[in-house]
Amino acid sequence: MKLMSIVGSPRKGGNTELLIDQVIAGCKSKTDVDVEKFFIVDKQIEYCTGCLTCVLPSPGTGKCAIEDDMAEILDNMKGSDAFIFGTPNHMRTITAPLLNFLSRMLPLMVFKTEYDDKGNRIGGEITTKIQDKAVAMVISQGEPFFCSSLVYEVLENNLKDFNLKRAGNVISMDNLEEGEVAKRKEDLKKAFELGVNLASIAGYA
Amino acid sequence: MKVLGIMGSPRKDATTDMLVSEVLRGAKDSGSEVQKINLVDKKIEYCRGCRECMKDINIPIGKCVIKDDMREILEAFRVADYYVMGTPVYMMHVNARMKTFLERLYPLVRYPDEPGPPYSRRDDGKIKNAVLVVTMGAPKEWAEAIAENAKNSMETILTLEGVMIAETILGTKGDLVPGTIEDQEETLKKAYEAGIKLVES
Repeated sequence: MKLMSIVGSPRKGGNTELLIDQVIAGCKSKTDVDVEKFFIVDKQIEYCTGCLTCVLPSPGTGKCAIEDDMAEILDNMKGSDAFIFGTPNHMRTITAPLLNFLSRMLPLMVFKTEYDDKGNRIGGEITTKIQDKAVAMVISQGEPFFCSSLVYEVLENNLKDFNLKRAGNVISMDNLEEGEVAKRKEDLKKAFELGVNLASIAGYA
Repeated sequence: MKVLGIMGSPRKDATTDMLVSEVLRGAKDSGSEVQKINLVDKKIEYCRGCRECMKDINIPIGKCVIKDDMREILEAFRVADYYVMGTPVYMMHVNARMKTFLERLYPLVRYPDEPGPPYSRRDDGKIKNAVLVVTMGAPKEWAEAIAENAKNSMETILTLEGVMIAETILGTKGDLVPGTIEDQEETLKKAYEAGIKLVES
């Protein structure tokens, strides 16, 4: 199974990455996994300019007008069976690099838009080029008591919009220091089980 | 009185810019000193999450390890009396450029000694007011639902900075022809008046 792991954290060896590694280990316990793991901040990915030419007027160009590393990543996404998205909680929501990454995934969407006689958009449907692939999400944060809905809902709703099959999520709290998640055995176990489930949702277990 | 406008859209003179500028014009006509920063013109790197800025919490602005334009913007943000924040909705959220900016405001907050949420380093206890501008391609019928996450996230982060959103201006149907807004005249008037009200608050 081909698995792409997208790390939305800026810190190498930090809590988000450690959790993602557990999900990968869970997948590997069930099947042979070809893993591509990368940090968004290590790639050259410009900000989305909101030109919308990739999707509008529908069906759009299907490509991004910006030439950078994202073109290859989007190609690899189409060839993957499953994804892991990981992010720390930065200012009570997902990190800016991950938010930008999600915006730059727009060329994977295909809009079938209906217009009225005046050219107003009145409806339509969205399909995607990564339809029904499997996805897992992990979140780590320093805040010990609660996880803002702006973290998991924003991530989950966006992944839902790409018509991905969600295997579940792990939210690990109270991880202010780098690597602190190593102490949270329960969370690491949950991440491993999430990986097992991800392989099964992707049809490999 | 100083009013600081932060314009998050990559497109100048389009919907977000028009509305932010109009709020600032209202504030200026009421005798305030206004400044607009277009984030697209500034070099602002992603926050690295190193928390170096929290090492000394007794200075007014925590030390950020990144040397870029955010240094001067942090100072401008700290001394402003009012704010106008403008963002288009991307992926049902503020755009990433604005989010990068908001994360880099971290040096302006400190943590209490006991476990608890961070709060502004300003010790005057004053709550400053802001006007929020949120724009989108969708029509006004959908506007509240589409702007929800952007509004909530902006409100949550600004609260940490001791800033409260006094009014939100929604700019709808702004994507197809840049610079045109649904109910344009009415919306621009609302923005202008929000600027006047802001500096009187």
